[in-house]
Amino acid sequence: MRGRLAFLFIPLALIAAACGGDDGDSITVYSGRSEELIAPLIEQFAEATGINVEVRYGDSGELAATILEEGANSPADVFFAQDPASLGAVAEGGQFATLDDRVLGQVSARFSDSAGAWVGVSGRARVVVFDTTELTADELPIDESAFTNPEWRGRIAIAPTNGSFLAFVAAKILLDGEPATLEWLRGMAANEAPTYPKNSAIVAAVDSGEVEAGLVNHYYLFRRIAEEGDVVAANHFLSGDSAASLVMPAGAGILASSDKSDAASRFIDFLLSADAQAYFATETYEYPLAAGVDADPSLPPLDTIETPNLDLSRLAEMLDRATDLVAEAGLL
Amino acid sequence: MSLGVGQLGDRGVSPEALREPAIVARSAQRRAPRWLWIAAAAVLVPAVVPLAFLGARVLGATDAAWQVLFSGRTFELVLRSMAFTTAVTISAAVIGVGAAWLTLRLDLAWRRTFTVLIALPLVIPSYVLALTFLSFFGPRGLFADVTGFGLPSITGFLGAWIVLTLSTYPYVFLIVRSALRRLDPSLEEAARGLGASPWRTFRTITLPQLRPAIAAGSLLVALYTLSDFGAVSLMRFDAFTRVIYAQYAGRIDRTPAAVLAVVLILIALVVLWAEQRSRGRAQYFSRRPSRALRRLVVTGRQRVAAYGALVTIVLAGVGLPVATLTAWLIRGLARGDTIDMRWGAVTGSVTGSLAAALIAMAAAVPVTILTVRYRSRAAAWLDRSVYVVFSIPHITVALAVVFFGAQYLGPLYQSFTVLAIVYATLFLAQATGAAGAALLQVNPHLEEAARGLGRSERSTIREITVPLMWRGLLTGGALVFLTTMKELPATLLLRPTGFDTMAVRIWSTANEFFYARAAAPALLLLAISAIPMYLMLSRLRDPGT
Amino acid sequence: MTITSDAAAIHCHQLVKRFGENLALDHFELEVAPGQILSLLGPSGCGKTTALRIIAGFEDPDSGSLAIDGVTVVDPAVNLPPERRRVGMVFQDYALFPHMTVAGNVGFGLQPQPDAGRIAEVLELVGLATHSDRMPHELSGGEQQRVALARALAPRPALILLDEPFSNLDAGLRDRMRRDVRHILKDAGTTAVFVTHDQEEALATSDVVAVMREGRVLQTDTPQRLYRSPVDPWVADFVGDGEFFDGTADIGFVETPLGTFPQTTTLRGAVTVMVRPEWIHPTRSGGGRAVVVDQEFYGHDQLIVLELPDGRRVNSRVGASPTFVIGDRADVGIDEIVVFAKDA
Repeated sequence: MRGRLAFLFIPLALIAAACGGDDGDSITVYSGRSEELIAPLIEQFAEATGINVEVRYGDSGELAATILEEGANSPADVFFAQDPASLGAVAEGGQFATLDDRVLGQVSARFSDSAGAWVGVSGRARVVVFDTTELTADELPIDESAFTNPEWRGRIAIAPTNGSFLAFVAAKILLDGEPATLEWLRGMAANEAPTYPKNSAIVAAVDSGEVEAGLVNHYYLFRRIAEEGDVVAANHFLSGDSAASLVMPAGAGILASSDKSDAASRFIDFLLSADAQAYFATETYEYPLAAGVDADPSLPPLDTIETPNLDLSRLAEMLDRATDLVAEAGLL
Repeated sequence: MSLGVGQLGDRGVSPEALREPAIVARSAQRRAPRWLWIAAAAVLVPAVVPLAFLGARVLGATDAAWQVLFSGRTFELVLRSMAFTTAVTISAAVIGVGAAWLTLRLDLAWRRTFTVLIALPLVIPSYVLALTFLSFFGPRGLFADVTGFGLPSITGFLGAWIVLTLSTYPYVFLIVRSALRRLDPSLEEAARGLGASPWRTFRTITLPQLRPAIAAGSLLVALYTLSDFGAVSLMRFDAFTRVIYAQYAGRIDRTPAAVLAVVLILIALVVLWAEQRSRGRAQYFSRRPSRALRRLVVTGRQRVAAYGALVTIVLAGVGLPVATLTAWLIRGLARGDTIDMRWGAVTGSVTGSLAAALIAMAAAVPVTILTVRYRSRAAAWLDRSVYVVFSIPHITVALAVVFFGAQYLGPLYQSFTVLAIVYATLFLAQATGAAGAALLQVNPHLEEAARGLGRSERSTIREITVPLMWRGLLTGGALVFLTTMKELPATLLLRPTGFDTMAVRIWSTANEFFYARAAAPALLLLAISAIPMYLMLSRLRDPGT
Repeated sequence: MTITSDAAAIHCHQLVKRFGENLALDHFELEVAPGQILSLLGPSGCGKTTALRIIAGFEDPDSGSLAIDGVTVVDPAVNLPPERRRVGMVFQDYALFPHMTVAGNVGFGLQPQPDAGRIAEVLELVGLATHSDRMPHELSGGEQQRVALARALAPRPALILLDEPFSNLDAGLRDRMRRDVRHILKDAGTTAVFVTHDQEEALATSDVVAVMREGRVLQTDTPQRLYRSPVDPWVADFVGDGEFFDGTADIGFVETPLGTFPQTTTLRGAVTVMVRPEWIHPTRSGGGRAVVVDQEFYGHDQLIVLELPDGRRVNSRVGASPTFVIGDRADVGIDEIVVFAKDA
């Protein structure tokens, strides 16, 4: 009988045993980009530099919130995120160190934070993914404004809780102003635009015939193709020079609280190196932003995409407003 | 007081005792010893941290936070979530009670297999269930691929309702099943003898006695449904949790999310209140069935209908997800993918879940004894806070721990220790519920007898109380183990760097369309979880001591 | 801990206990002499079990004091936990530890080491020497009862408390167990307090019976005195059958519908007179004032229902031999009466 109660103390022993230390020449990266895509790259870096990388994978937005909660005690040295919104949140919180001009200089200024808190690493274009059995590219409008028209009622999917959509809304606020943005969002709500939790879900829904089209980032379609083989979904790059044709970077920054900024800098350098950029081009179908690497030939070249000129650091400032408007329009 | 899994009030109340109400109310005799309170308080520190954190955040909330609360669709989504939770709770209760009755009271073949299969959806993460449903149905879904016949998509309210019902009915099934086997068959026999049909007997005699068990199971269903985000968002049903998650994704200011989480807590308190109300006042259960129950013999159409119902539940809850996962896996293998098993994720899942289960069992002892044996207002709130934590989205709890951990825990932050403690805290309600149900079945005279024989409170707990509630503690531990196996949001934020679990594997692969790679850990998760599930169910086979 | 000069095994003084609105003990007073077997007798809800549980220490009184064997265990300054009171308790449901053998149960209170000799001794005492390895659920109700008693006796407590100990046994077994338990307790020389709502059980097993009603002790007396001299009509009615009549008392006598009888109380005027059925003796007589209207024959005795001239019917319990036929006329003799004040 006594044995039973003693058994309850096993967890304590287990806990004690589990408390181990680590260290050496290593950095900690919080990665909002998935392990499936990024792990090989991290391995390359570790092999090339001998720097051990501890990676915490998670959702970009949640990791940004984590860094903000951790404050000055954050164990993270680098935050590598999917979208400028999450990066902007950390930058707004004042938790990024300013990057060297040498680093920032490698990437076109429009893909980085204007104050130098983070640098764009790879580009993702906002596109319309559509079901080719239902639609042709000709039938799609040149920008997002037409999607509030009655003919698109219930046909165009959005992911209003997703960081990339919120970044798009923030961009729209900057480009078109708050009233027009709110009106558009209300129009989408009134048009009963189907809402999904994330881009991949929209692409899956379009490809499986659940909805005709959706506003997403371009590269999810290629993951879908790799997994499913034949797909009926296709990307359409809007030509209207609007927020919906924005190219948004995934990017990285170094935490101000990091005491390993040298190693962290080497990691960022590596992300911008030709090897890594080529990896993004061929493995994740994103737009390389540095080292003169070309995008996958199946994509329209980056300079042909009609994308509005926008200061991405202001985009983060608009993020809270974007969330407010999305809520106000009844899309949350 | 809310005990969760089975307020299976049972002290073998004799007719004499019923005439003397003082005996029934007589659990709160002496005041609880201080050390017991200290133990319970220590156990609850991790539960109080997130609550205190939310409180502090709400006090410091910005104007934006209050705007979020009163703007847009917040109120509408609260109502939607409550309506949705009600719908899921009712359907889960119907399926759970029905399946328990069918597997336990009819002379069907393959009863044990059915029992395990019917409980099994508990171990499938609800977002995986949602993904497989999305992939299976639809005009170009898996079913259409195989048969050439396209099914309509199941999304929105209907899809979310089906998926959440399938993920949660096992709570009701497991709890009601154990209550049902403790029922005194002579009550049903008496009713039949008085000329009641089997259906009338079930409705008027059996069902009312199962009320506390149904209420306890439904409580877990409701709180789980309320806090779920993954499945409802994949099924595109707009629930209240999406507002909370959207705040984390699209806002630097984190006070709005905190304010919204507090709203969720208030809803949870309403649910707890409803559960207490619906449980009823009577303590119905007889101590131990005086003899084995006799199963009803059914034939012909009724027998076919019974099998049909069970097979349908199993097909939807286990068959469909397993088939879809298997299809994904086969497709991946056919394409030449290599299945990377990542044994680290397996050991991570198992050690994390095991540690969580053991901690929760240890923590459940003082909490359960306080709430069951020393009923008081303070003990009732202690118990309630355990349930409230169960109802908060894990992301909120995890971020509270992140804040607290990064500031005050030093090297323990992002350690296995803290992760295991957080797991145990998130799921403690399941352990205290099961243990509480077991303790309620222990005659308090046994503990008094020990005290009268010269044993101290502590020695009595060690030698009488814990051994007699052991089975309930084990059940609670098994439930915590099974739910920890599928936990994701807290794992992502709080795990030690490099710590991997199967749930993380599934999430990180499925998120990027690597369905084939997601299928292997998902199937493995199921297979591994089925073992403790089987053990738990076979342990519960013989009526309790 | 205060040692008082009080020689009583138990002394309850002014105990008060409330459960919410309900006053379970209302200035409860009780004294039990060492070695005595006392029954607390009262209807359900009278507070007798509460009193027992307070003595055992499972319940705290709101006020009052309690001493066991001259040692104060509860008063405003002291509250000894149950394990330090040396009180053995036998529960109505026996409360045998289901996960321990008979020997494990009996040895449980023997600290620090269960003494096999003592276990054997008490099991011998209760006649279960051969059952020590059984589990409780393998025993019959009577055997479980004996194990519960043996378990309570094993640590040689100052006092044994028994809460409705025979109520779960069937009638035949109950009579035997009562006798056995009484002998076991007497052999062990232990002071014991029974709680029961069964007056026959209380009278048959105890040296002294305390009758309780609504949280108070109304009368504490030997069974004989309690039966023959109850303090009020309620006690009289609770401890046995009785016929109650209105009467008019004066010095030395009382007039009743049954006739005029001598009495020794100081009461005057309107009184209540109680007669037990076995104190009423009908004798067949053609000119008798009463008529036999019903009859139940039990073998060892019989019940005769008599109708008095005023139309009132009374029960008389007589031996088996007199033969009555319904319709017989009879004279009625009265052995004894009890006189109560009218407002009592």
